Amino acid sequence: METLQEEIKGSLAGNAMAQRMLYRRLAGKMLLVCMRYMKNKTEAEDVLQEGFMLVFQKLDQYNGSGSFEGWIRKIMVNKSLEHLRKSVYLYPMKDLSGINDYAISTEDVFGNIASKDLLRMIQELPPAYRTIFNLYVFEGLKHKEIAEMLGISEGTSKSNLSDARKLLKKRIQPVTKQSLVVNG
Amino acid sequence: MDKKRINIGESGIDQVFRDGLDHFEVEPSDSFWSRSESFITNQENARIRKRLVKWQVIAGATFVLAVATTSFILYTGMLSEPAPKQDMAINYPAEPKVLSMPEAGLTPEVQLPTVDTDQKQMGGLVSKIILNHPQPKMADLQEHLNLPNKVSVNKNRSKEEIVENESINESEVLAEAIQPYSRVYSEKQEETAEVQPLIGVDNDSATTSESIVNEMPFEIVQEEVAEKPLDGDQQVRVTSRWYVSGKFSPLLSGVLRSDNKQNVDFSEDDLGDDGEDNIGYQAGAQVGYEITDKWSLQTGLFFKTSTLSLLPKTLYAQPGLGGEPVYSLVTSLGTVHIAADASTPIGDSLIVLSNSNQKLGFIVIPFELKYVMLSKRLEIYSFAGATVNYLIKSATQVHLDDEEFEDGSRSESFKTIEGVRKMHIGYNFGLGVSIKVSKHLGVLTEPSYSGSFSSINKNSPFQSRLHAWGLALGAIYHF
Repeated sequence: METLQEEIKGSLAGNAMAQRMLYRRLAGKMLLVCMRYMKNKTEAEDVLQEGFMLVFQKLDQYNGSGSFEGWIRKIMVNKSLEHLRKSVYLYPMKDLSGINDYAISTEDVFGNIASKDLLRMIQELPPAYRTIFNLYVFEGLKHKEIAEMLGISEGTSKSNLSDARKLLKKRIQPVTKQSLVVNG
Repeated sequence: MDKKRINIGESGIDQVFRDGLDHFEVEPSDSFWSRSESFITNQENARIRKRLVKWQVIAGATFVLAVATTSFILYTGMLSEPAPKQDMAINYPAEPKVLSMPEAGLTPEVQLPTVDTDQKQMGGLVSKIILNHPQPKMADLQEHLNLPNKVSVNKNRSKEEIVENESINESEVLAEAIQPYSRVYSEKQEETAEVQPLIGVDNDSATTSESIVNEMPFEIVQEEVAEKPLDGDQQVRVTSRWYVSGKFSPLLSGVLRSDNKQNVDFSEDDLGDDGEDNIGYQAGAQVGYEITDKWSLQTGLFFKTSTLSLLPKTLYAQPGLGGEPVYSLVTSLGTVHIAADASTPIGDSLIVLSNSNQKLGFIVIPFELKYVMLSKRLEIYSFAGATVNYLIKSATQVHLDDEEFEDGSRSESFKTIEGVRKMHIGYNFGLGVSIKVSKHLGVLTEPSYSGSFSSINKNSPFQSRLHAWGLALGAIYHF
């Protein structure tokens, strides 16, 4: 298998090798998407697994007009939201004050570790903040769309986004200072 | 990420995260890859099974069709009228064996007519011998016709088709031999008009057809008329209006789901799709009464299984009624509670693998109206009606995957599916074809579709209606 198109075509035909290649190609990127929504990697992998199952079941519905990666990404986001909806009562939204100060590594702040830390910051947000921040910043949705999707008011969406930003800024400030020292 | 970006403002935080996570990937764990491999393998196996099932259904349907067609052809062949005279002539050898007088056992004083070219196909020579021989000998016939010692004669069959049979007597052989002529002879006698040459004679023969006929020393054997059923309303009823039938039908079942509008917190979409390899069966007996020649009422008693395969699904431990951790598997049929170890943290997850399934067993009582569209030896009919379905057993077989298990997985069976109704009302309709193999007995095949008027779930955020395609095979007996 050489190209994405060939892998899609092979997967549609039920070729197990093509499905494996598609997994390999997209698992890393999609796991990041899921991890932004879920609180840990284990949960994110569960969602990713179910997302891929759905991808293979619905693959014939991909019309090829848009980005395949974008199409899968939407599926992963929807799966993540589905899991969040189910587990909200299991994981009551944490109080803002209950979150511990976030200790971030000063090593290689411009490389992958920094990216991992950024990811962890997002994961540490309360579910509602995390969800709205992700939908707004990474999926590019408007507050109206977010409100409709989550069944909340636009005001709540804006308010939660603002709180999420404040929280993230508060956590990232120490890193900024540390990195300035390191690079200064 | 550079210093400028790190030195962010209030709204610049969005860009920091976008840039920081752009092109970033996370390598899945080894357990994820092993589960993925398991999923792909299961998918492949399911595809193979599905393909096999499809071909099995096609092969089964083809077999049924072939059996039905063959039975029909054989049956209609057995009951068909004797072939017309000219057809029968074709069955005779095109070139009759010409016997010399001594060969035919004839005395010199008996004139042996020769065979006219036009009459050869009537097997005339054989008959002529008989006609002109005052006392034909069976031995002569056997010898010259190459008949076996024991033969049976069917007037519809050619010489070559005469087969060995113990019920032989001379009169049958003779009747066979003279039959083409005897019938014409009878007709001609009734007409009493100018007698046309029955058997050709050559110019040298002194024996005319008329004289041959007049000299026939044999009793004319009347042709037997095969029983021929009359069409439609003219058909004479030979059986009672009551009938019984036994049927077996493989079922391809499934569930049609819809949201319960009264519950907005849960969507049936949240369940995900059900599996596709849902093979069940239905077997039982029916009794019917023909109200008219076209319409019948029928009821019966059946046992039916509905199978639903479950696609892989992640389950999360939730607090049970007593606060203990349980895994709740919500399916289209209902909820199955799977006990977890007391130490399992709430929110911990495990996977239900794809070889999990649920089975429901029902006693089904149908009330159907049957309409006969074609009523001959081959009967074509349609039927439709309501069914009452009593749940008598349920089972869920799950295959759980968890790294904490000794072998990485375990299989469990549960008899209780929470939320399934004990009874639901359904419907059933289809087409049927039956072929009589005797006056009372017939075989049948019926493609049908059954569904549910009411949901099989109660107190559920979604409604599920069972449906199934079936192809019944069975027998029907008219009293």
